[in-house]
Amino acid sequence: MTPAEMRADVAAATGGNSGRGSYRRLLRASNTYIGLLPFFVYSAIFLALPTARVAFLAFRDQDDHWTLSNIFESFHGVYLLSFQRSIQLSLVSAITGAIFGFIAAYAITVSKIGFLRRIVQTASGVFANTGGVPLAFMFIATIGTYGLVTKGLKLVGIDLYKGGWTLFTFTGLILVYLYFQIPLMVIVILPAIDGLRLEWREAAATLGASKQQFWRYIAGPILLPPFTGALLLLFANSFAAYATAAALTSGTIPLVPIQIGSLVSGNVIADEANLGYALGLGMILIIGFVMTGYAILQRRTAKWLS
Amino acid sequence: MSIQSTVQRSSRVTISNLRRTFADVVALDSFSLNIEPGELITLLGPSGCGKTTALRMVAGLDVPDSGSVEINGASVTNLPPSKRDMGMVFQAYSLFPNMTARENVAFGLRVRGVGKAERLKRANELLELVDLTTQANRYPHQMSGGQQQRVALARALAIEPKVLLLDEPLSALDAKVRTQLRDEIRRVQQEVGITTIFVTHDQEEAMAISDRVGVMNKGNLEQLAAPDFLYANPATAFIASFVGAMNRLPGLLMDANTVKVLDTTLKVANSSHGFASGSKIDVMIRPEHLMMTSGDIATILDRSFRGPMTRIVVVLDDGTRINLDVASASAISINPGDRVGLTITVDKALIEAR
Amino acid sequence: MTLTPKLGPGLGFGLGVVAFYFLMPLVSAFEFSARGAGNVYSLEAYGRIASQYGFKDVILLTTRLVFVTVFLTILIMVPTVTWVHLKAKKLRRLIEFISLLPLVIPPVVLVLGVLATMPNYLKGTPMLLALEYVMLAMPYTFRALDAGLGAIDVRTLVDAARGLGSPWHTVFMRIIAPNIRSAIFGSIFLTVALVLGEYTMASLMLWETFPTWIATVGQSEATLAVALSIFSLAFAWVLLLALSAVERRQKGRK
Repeated sequence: MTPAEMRADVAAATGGNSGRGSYRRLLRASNTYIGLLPFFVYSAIFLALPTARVAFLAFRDQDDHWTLSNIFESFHGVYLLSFQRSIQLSLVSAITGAIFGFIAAYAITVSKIGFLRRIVQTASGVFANTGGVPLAFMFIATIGTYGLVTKGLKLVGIDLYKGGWTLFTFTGLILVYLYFQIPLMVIVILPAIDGLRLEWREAAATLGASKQQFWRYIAGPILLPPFTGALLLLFANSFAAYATAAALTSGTIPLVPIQIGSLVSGNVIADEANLGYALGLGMILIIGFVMTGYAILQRRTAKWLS
Repeated sequence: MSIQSTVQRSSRVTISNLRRTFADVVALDSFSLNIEPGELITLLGPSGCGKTTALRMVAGLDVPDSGSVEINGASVTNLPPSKRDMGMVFQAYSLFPNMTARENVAFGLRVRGVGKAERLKRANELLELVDLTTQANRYPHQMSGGQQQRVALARALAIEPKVLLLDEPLSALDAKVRTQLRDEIRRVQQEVGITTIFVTHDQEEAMAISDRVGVMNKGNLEQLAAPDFLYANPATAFIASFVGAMNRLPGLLMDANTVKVLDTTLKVANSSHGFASGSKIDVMIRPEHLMMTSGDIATILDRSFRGPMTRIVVVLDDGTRINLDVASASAISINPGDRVGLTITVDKALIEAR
Repeated sequence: MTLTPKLGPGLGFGLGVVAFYFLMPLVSAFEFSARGAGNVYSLEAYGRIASQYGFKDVILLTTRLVFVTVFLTILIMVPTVTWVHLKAKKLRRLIEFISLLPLVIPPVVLVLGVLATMPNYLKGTPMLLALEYVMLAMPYTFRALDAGLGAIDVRTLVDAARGLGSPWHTVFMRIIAPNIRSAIFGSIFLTVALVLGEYTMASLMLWETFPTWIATVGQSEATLAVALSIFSLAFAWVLLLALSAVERRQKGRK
């Protein structure tokens, strides 16, 4: 390389003022993007555009004027209640699912039984993706009025339905949601549990720490970020779920997705037509917020447990 | 700070007849060892020889089938690791990832209920001892492997342990850091004066830092001696070839005590070898105990420059390859293909089955 | 007494409870679906599936949706992810981010926007569902293909083939595709499972696909609906099991 060439190279690299260089860069950039054009266009049409439209319409009224009344309305009355209910449902199902999922994941890890681990791992991958109508019917067959477990419990003198409880209530819905929440927890938390090194236990022990101190000062703090992250993921998972709730409760429990669903289906008072968009925007914001937290915690976890 | 504040009452360690089997494999058998106060003993051997098992039993991380471990005459055999006051450094990755270097070092004091100010002060002193004061607030993932191991050393020393146990602490590091840290460990050990057991598979490491080296093979302690003695007087052929470089030359056993090799007669170093007179055996000769002469019994195969010395590979007419070291200055005239003679410069050698 | 944690009675009990919770609905659903007339067990409900009103149309529509979705997914995602690995490594995070967005924008909200933006001729055809399913499947297809391409050194393979004078389409069909075959299969399985189970968009756009049809049937025939549920779950599980087998093989090769 001659000094002149080298200078040219440095100039190009440092963004020198040669017109030819910037044209070249433009060419290179367009070369990079051109293969991705179909992807960008497709996502724009079928994801970005509809989403942007939802956000836009959340601030428009019937007569196509700017308004905040949809947003305002979505924080009041039955819609506020829906947000509360949805958040409650997601919280309880996330916490319960996280606890049981953690127990299952920890148990299969320490059991050291290879085939048990493989079965649970594979089954989790399968069950975490189970939801919707089939799941609802499966539980109807289990603890519905005529379900097998309901009948079995009756035989031993326990009547599930005596106190007015049904599968179609809040607790019933949680029981069903756990069927996909627990497996999701197992999938997400297993790598973190695997990352707990035996050396940490042994080092802690030789330094004089009891088992309780090991959990309190080391394992606990190490697992807290991935556990919290998993909790957030489970929350979002439950918060966004529509099919299972719709199939099971047919609207008896006010949840945000169910409210949106009935607004779409046209069960709507005329001046609330654009309210669905405000609710949708609210959902996206909440889930986006939660998932951002999840991503941050994931990165923290990767640093500690790599 | 005063280093003296970290000086322990140096402890005597008495290990008697430890035995441990895993399933039907004997990992350690009748393992006994006395360690003097302040001494650094290295257990050296290939992987699976039982050295780590022995160390873990001293730490209490593994339990012997039989035998005992005593510190200053008191048995600790049945104590859990948390009650033994042993400072242990592991191969790698044993620092708690959620704590800074300083918090890691202070951890042992924390679980002992030492107040925060006091334990952080002690941690700082120890970080100074291992030359890491600038890294005190870093997390393990922000430190290099060598720095992490130094923190681990400081952490182990912070509890003023009776014995320091080092389980291949250098094996995960690259060569240059390994030598540096090796010397650092020795320096700290001597400054603190702590009784230490060091486990490694690297003979160079063992020779460099130990007061005594115990060579282990298949669950047994084969020889325990000072490094120079061990090198000069290996008790078995296994030790001879594991510690330092060794050639095997074809020889003929004349009688129980003499062997003939390359037309030279040597005394046999191992007394109870069990070979009959007239047996064809291998004779173990170190590279530096061979001299090249003018002659016609071997052909130069190769040479490689190693600083002051040059390693020459020659091959005997029966195909036996032999390594020998000559001063580089005199190696210039040696070329592959040359015919040479060989002279042995020692008068006794170990023999082993061919 | 080593420190290796063990499966104690407490954890064992916990695991047992979880196992019971997951197995009971499977057993119950099967028992329920096999309840015949007059307290006799029979599998007659399964026999009635095919003759149920609407069955043929539903299967036909669902199958068409599966094919169109899979076709479009492969057509868009395979070249895109390949391109990312070959020419636009720096954009990988961005593409990954976009492809993960459907996890943040729930289908029930997306369908609102779709109905508000799409032209009528698209809204009049169920194939709009397929177009959106491509989006919904994207988080999974991107990951599967990304992992598959990450496992091989595409750059070197392609440079070698190009250096030997192969034209681009040959490079793609002969070099890249065979090397990521299991990743492609993986993303196909996931896409199929998704289309077969998707209820939200289908029901809100008022199309009768397999999942929405089960719900309809369930309003009058509980036994049959449970039988159908088992049938559809079993089908999805087989797909997902095949997927995990493919993934294991891929890992083994790496």
